[in-house]
Amino acid sequence: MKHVNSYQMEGYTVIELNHNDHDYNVIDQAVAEEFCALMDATLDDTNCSGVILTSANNTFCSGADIQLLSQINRYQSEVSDIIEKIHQTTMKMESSSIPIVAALTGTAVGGGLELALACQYRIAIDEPTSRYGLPEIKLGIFPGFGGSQRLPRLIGVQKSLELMLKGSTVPSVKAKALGIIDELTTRDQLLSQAVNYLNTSPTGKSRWLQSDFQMKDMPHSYSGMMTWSAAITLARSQTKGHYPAVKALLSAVYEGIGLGMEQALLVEHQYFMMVVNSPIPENLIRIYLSQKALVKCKPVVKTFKKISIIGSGLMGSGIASVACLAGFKVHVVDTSMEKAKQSEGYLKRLLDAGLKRKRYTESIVSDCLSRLSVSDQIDTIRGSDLVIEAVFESREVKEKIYRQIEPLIDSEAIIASNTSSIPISELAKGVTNPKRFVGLHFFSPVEKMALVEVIKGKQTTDSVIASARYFSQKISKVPITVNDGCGFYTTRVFARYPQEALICLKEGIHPAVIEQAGRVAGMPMGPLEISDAVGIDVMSHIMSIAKDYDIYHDMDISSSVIDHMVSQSRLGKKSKKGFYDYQSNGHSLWSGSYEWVQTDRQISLVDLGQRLMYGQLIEMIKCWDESILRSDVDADIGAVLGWGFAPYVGGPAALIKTIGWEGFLKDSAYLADTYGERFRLPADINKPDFL
Amino acid sequence: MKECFIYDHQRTPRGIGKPQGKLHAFRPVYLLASILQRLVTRNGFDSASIDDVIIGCVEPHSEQGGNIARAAVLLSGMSETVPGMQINRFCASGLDSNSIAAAKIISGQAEAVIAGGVECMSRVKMGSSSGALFVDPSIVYDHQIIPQGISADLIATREGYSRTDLDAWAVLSQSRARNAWENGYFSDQVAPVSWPTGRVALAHDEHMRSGVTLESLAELKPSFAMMGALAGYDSVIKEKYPDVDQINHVHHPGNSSGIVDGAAVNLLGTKAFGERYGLTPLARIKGFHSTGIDPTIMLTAPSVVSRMLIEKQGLSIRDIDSWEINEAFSSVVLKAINDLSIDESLVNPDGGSIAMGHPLGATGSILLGTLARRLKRNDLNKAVVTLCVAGGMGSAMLIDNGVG
Repeated sequence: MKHVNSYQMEGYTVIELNHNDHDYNVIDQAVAEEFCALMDATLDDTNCSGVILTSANNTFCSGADIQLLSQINRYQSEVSDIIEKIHQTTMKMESSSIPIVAALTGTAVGGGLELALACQYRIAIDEPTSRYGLPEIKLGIFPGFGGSQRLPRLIGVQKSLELMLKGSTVPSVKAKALGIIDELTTRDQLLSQAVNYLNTSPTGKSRWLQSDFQMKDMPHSYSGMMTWSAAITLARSQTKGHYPAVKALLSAVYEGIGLGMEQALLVEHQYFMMVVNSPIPENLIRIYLSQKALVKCKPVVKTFKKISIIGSGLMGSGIASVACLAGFKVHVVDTSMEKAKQSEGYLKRLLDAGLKRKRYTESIVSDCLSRLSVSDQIDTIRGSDLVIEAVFESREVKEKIYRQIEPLIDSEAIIASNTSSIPISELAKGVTNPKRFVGLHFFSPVEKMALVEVIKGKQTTDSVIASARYFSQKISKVPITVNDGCGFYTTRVFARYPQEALICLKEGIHPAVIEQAGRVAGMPMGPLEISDAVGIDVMSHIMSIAKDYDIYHDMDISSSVIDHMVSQSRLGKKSKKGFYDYQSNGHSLWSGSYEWVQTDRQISLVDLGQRLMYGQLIEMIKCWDESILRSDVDADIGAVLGWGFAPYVGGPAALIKTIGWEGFLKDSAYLADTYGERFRLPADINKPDFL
Repeated sequence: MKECFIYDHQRTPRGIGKPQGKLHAFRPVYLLASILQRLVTRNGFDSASIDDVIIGCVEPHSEQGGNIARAAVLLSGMSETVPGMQINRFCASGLDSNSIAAAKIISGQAEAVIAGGVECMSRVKMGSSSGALFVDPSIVYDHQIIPQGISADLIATREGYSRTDLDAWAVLSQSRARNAWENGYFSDQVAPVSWPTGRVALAHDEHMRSGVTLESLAELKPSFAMMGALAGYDSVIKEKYPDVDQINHVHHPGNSSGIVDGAAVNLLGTKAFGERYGLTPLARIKGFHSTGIDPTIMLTAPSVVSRMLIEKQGLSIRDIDSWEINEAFSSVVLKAINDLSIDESLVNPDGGSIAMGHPLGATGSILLGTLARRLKRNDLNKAVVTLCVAGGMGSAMLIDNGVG
């Protein structure tokens, strides 16, 4: 066979996954057919006394082929056939009197782990890098090769739901503690341990088919009621009902765990096909694949021997730390040693956290710290091939620094600004060679936010853009590339979300309702909460820059609210006072946030949600029309990774695709007629070519 | 159409619903059978003349399962010709058992029915029968089904009831219950629970506390704050009530109904039945109604269903002289009083479930019996009993003095 081999070993049959087209294993139609045929034939062989299921690679199997999944909607019947085959064979595996042991050569996730769950015993290699789990939910689907039924039977409902609903994967030691893995061994010993297990003449048959098996956490008891009620509600509170796979998974487990396996798998199969029949899995898979494609490094574009960061505030320190962690030599300069040393403190905190979670060893930590140097003298940046300016958002301050930098560095070195809103081409006027000047817009906190917005100034060369993207990829950030403009893409479009909320607030709409409308529309935080997180002073600054460039309508309304907040010293989360009051045990809306409420000015939650979302969609279309955006993938990834724009709709461009251009124009016109001209699209707007 | 009269109401005292409670050692079927026996003996009717025994029970499984009504009929020594039926409308079960009984009588299908309820909460835990309504993802995920205490806190939050407002009602409930006991209002309706040897186990409501004050209640910790935060209940509420920023968790054991053991039965029959056995009615059942509302806020139906019932009868709220509104939680009663615009002195003047406890399936029968006796004692004209119900329901019944 092409992708699945078998051979004899010490009297047992070894079935080995070995995908012919990859150096890792995925399950596609061909693999599924070969696996099922070979496994069925092996189990039908009366001479067979034991089976070892393993892989020829350093990982076991990463599950269903993502390319197939990315078009799952179109290939529903093919997917359904594969599921049915796998269900038949895995049922045969778990009920066979021939013992089957899974010898996991490394990571087993999704469909890979599901095959292993149909074996009676699982041995894995004791190494921290391999992962185990059923992360399907992250792609908008749920375990469909029997995992939703077998994992609860193996480790209990509560633990399995936690894993499957979060889609988290765990290292081998944790997998063993959870009961997913029965035994850990070394890579060398893996197959011999599998043989040893078979030599003990185990009974075959999975434990849930044995007569003394008792299912834990059944829903129909007092404790089961408490567990299930809380699990369902928690899932609902986290998804706001936007992810059909979450509800389907809960139902599949709830309905399946009391049934025999054949009927349980039928329940799983039916729910799975219902989930597949929605656009959400494809939206999420597209985001996942685009992200992977964007972060994939081209062959070495440019080496960076020394990277200098000017400014050691939150952003400068964050960028410095992330670059150090990625192996770069980083030098941080600020106006005093005391300030410059803040970056060391930042890096140490990250490393300490990593040490605690055993992500880093002591030697990684000391190596990493040795790559960071700090100074209060600007001339110490000599020899840098990349200088990232991350100082206060002021043209004057920035330009003064550029004048100091330029004479100190090589003519080929790149100068980047981490500005979040000032046009790069404007800043480039402060340098003698604008061709090597580029925007590298990071997001806070840098170590958590996966996105970097690379901004091409009018004169920035393509090779500088390529280098900037390469640097981003090397520090494991996903770069999107946009053309220049005030607020570029991300700041400009994102800012419409809180801005619209401020206009709603001023109109007299209830602040808690505005917040809820944002969350229900799919945003990760309410717009006022997000304003607090950004900082009211930062918002004020962004607005004043936006005013200079006149990019938004109705700025005076939203800035009047912000000005009021600033005058009340409510600067946001960092000062524990903003639209919310922040206490150690949580936060609640500040009484002053209710100041504008007029009970007769309330509008429907639907209209409110549309205002908050369409503000962003319309701004995105304007960015497209003004050629600030270069691809719809950048638009979607930038929004989803940059400010958490509803991932299940696939991002703003994908959402407009789903709504349809005509519908989008109609909705925008309604909003403009009803709520203000800022929703009016230019009359000569072109239909974007991604539609 | 026949008329349906309430001839008697008998109940056990309510024992604390914990293993150290004085009724904990008694099986639910024993409590129910003893109170049935007492009803038959007191009123001197032939038990074979009873057409049905309908018993409400909210956790009808284990020793409360398998039709406890029929089991209790057999244990009580009543004629084996008397059938039994168990029903469940959660907290209104003990009222709806009376409604069904009355429907049989009014429609001429039965002449005499015993309706009641039983719940031994110390033995069969609240919530232990689980059920699709609380755990089936296809329902819970889309309808925001949350624990009742959090619904009660939601009502308080939306209505702006402070902790002190709620505690004040709890203090009132305790003092009114004590007053009712001291005046002997319950002496004719509470039958002590005795061992078969005759040794008395409990003769008074054990859950009542003397010396409850606003100050002593202020020390109790809120019951549902942690649950609301950790399990996401507070958060899902906002999908239906977006104007609520934070749930104010103000309910605690002192201003919520008590968890107790107990059983209660009412003797319902036609005029002819009463005449045959020389019985004087306490009250006449004029009508009953049940309805549903949003299952998340869940507990605001008492005013809704009472209004529907009263309008159906061609009456107005002002025509009602006295009320029993079940004190599931303080906020439930305050909300109902507010919605109905009635004077609080008309509501639960003999105390309620906060003071004496709420033996889930039995409470409806107790409230009805208490109200019927009060109607008679005070020579009132019309009165309404109503209860909030899990899952977002409510039931109510209108009784009068039988004149006109």
